[in-house]
Amino acid sequence: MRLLSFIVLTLGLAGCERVAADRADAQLVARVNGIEISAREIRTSASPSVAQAVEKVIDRELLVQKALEAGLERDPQVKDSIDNARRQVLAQAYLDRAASAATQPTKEEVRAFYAENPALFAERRLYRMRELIVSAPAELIDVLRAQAARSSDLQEVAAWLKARNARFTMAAETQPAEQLPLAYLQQMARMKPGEIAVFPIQLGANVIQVVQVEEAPLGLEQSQTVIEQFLAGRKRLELAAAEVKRLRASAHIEYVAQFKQSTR
Amino acid sequence: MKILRRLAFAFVLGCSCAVADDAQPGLYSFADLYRLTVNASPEALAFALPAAPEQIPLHVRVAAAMPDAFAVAEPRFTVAQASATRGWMLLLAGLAAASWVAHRRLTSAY
Repeated sequence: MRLLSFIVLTLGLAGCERVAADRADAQLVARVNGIEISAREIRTSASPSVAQAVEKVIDRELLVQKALEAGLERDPQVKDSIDNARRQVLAQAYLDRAASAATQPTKEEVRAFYAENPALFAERRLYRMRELIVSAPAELIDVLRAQAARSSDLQEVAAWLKARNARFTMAAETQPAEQLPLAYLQQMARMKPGEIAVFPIQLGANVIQVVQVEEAPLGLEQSQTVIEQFLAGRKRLELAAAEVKRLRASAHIEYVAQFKQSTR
Repeated sequence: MKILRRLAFAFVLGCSCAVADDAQPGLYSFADLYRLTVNASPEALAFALPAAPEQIPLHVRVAAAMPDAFAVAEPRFTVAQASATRGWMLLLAGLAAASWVAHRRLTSAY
């Protein structure tokens, strides 16, 4: 009999908890022209505070009401957009579920990432640099590189470019290692003050002269949280990408001729 | 500021559209990748981490200004998702309670 009472009580409490959670979700937040807005709608907003989220949802509700009054939901373009949005949400939900299977990075993985990226952590530096953003055809890059190697100052490179009527802008800035393009970082980490490097970009090149470097190393403990979050995020993305790849491999996809080249 | 400069420069060159539409991961910093991977937005799927910098086609940097990756993540408003109501639990609890009361009434001398 006691056992039965206990079971009844437990089940009752569990049920009450569910009901409470559901009530919180369905809690009325506001009424807009008689239409009730529940906490559930607030949850989906990406605003930084609850108050802002409420205001945003109210604005949205007002617009929705007007759109419905105007019969916009019957507009073919709007219909298509609604369908696309629905599909996007479904795809994202599936992807999120697939990615949720990702495991947290181990201590060894964190340590390995820390060790593999000394320029970002153990040997992190702050770079004060001057930069020329040059618009130049690809064939000029090698010549520019040779000129940069000969020059002791960025002004010399600028003068050389000016003499060739090349378009460029000059800038000076200070950046920590993690803000530098990863494509530059390895080389930048080896550069000494005064050295000049040329990094090709799509429409020309960045010519960078390191003016000053300041050592700003980060210990493993300091970096641990960032690395853990990064690795966990990367695992989730990898899982999601693998799932998409698996789905593509098992699906029967037929391209219409005119899209075949552009989509692959 | 630098990004604005780059965009302005690209605009002067008459190629701003191509640059903005065709950003590639070559010029992403670790801070950019951190933001993309930790936020794990669907767009981030396209940005695989670079295995070696020289293998990456170079392009313009991401258009958004980046906060320090080592700063505390900006607060985001999220409300934990409550799971669906288990109606059957309430039903079961009710049935059990009713059975118990009935059982007591039938078996009790009072």
